[in-house]
Amino acid sequence: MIAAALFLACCGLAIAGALGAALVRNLFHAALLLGLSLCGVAGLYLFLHAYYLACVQIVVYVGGILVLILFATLFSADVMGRLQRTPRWLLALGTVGAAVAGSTAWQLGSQVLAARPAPAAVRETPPGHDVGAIGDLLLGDWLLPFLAAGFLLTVALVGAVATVRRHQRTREVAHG
Amino acid sequence: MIAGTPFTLGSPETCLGVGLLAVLLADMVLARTHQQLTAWLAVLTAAVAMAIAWHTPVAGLPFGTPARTAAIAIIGLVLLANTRVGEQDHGAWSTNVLAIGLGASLTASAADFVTLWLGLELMSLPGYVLAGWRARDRRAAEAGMKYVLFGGVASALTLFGISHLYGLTGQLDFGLAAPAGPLSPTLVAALCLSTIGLGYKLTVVPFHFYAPDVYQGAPAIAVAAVSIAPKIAAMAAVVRLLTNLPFAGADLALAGLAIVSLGIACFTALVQHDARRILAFSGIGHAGALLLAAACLPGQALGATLHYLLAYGAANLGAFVCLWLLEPKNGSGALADLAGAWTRRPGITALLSLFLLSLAGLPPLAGFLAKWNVLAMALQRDAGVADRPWVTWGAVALLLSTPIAAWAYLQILRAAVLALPPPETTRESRRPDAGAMAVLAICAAATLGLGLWFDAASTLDAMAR
Repeated sequence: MIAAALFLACCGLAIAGALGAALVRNLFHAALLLGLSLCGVAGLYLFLHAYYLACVQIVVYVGGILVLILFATLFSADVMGRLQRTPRWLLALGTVGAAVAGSTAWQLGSQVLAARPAPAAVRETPPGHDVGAIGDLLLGDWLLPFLAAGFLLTVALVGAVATVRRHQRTREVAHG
Repeated sequence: MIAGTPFTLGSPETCLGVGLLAVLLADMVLARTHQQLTAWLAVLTAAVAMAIAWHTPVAGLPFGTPARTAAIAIIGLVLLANTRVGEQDHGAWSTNVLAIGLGASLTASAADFVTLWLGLELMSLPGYVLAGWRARDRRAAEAGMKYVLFGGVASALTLFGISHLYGLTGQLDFGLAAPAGPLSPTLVAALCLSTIGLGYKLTVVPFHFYAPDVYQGAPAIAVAAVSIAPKIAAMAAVVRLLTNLPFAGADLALAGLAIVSLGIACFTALVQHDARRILAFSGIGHAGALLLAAACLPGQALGATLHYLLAYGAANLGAFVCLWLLEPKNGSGALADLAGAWTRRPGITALLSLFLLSLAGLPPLAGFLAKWNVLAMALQRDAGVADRPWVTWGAVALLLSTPIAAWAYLQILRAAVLALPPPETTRESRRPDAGAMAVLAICAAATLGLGLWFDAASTLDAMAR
């Protein structure tokens, strides 16, 4: 009973946080709401017996990336200005949309859950032993995607630096 | 147990990855006077990766081997066309173009959804940077922004679909994700969602909205990298998905998308006033024709698809390199800007005509034979082939759209050949160097050769099977 309530709370946290982050106009509030969503997802990992992944989610995403996003937001201009307030019609529209999407998801989810057993990966991993399993998978069967993800981040960094540097140079040229 | 795409040290991906890091390092270490080395290092990387790709078969997908090789070859040719260091940040340019090659190679060889998604993202991220390459240009900024937003949504929807697929089947491999028996509606919905990323890369209607703006805003040579290699790779992934996860109604869905793409592309191209926008809609139409070829799978459609990809790749790359050389520096592809090209650069304008006529599907060029092969596949009436009314309608759409699209290509030719330049034009265009001329020669030879190679479809089919 308590587990079910906790599970539903985590689900609600993840969905409400994500919805809020997408709908709220204030960047700072959106970032904070994103943190809420990430915490909810970490809770869901716990229910899947992926304890290590839950810790990683909190440490890396909430502790690292979210703090970076907040820093970047604080450096941008007009964090709490008039443009950052969410208009009421958008909130109303968002609520209606969320209700429709939620009910559809509920229908689909209940059908799917009734139709089939839990996925194989969840059944095969014994609780508490997921660190070794993740390591084996990442450096074994999934080595190629693991390396590709590294290259993806490298290329993203290079692209970001190149874009900013070129814009700065042209600005310097334009201002003498 | 779930098993991803196998990794081997001797794969083209390894070569491209190591080369990419080497180019980055060289760009950092070498003095400004030796930057030319970086450009040639990138070309060398692509050439070696191409040779490795040709000799390393893609596991489980014979079609992937020539497709992967062609995608890397296109990337190599784009790098070769722009080796002159002088424009800013050549190191970043080479890195981004090589990353598109790495992504294309991964996508073409992907055997599971995670690798497929990473490959698609590796093609997209450098694309965003290249689309906004021209600093302080409003069109480039718009192109980059649109590309990022559309790409982000397409990527998120793809991931959403993949998560559903994993939830439903517990597998991420293409082959293992196929359950025995008929597919449930939920699984079909998940599959459709997870292929949105591929539709986006192929610029199929309704995922095409970004293409005209990106093609218009990015430098023409960057468009050549962003448009062709991803299409070849995405087509290889489509073929693998269709062979591993066959489901009833696939031909209907593909032919339907093909008809819509062909129809919208040919009519919208008619009202454009920019050569690059016309080529963008041409790309959308050609994607439709490719999907029509895929709808005919199995049969000899593998060879026809491969021939179409090669013919389209050669002509499109050539056309964009020509436009890059004919347009004024930092200019757009506006038809008015092309006026007088024939008097300034008659040779390159003649080559541009060759490539455009091939794209239009005029015999004896490659585009004609490619279209002919696809039509022959779609209208085939064999005893062994089931009746496919939608594919027949697709063939009719291809037939009807070809002359309409040809009129749009003729608009570019009219501007380049017949229109007189305004008297005050002193805007300077790029001087073609040996690398660019070599690329144009290769593309022209391929356009002519693929058009005269009459048994191409059956020969390529034997290779791709």
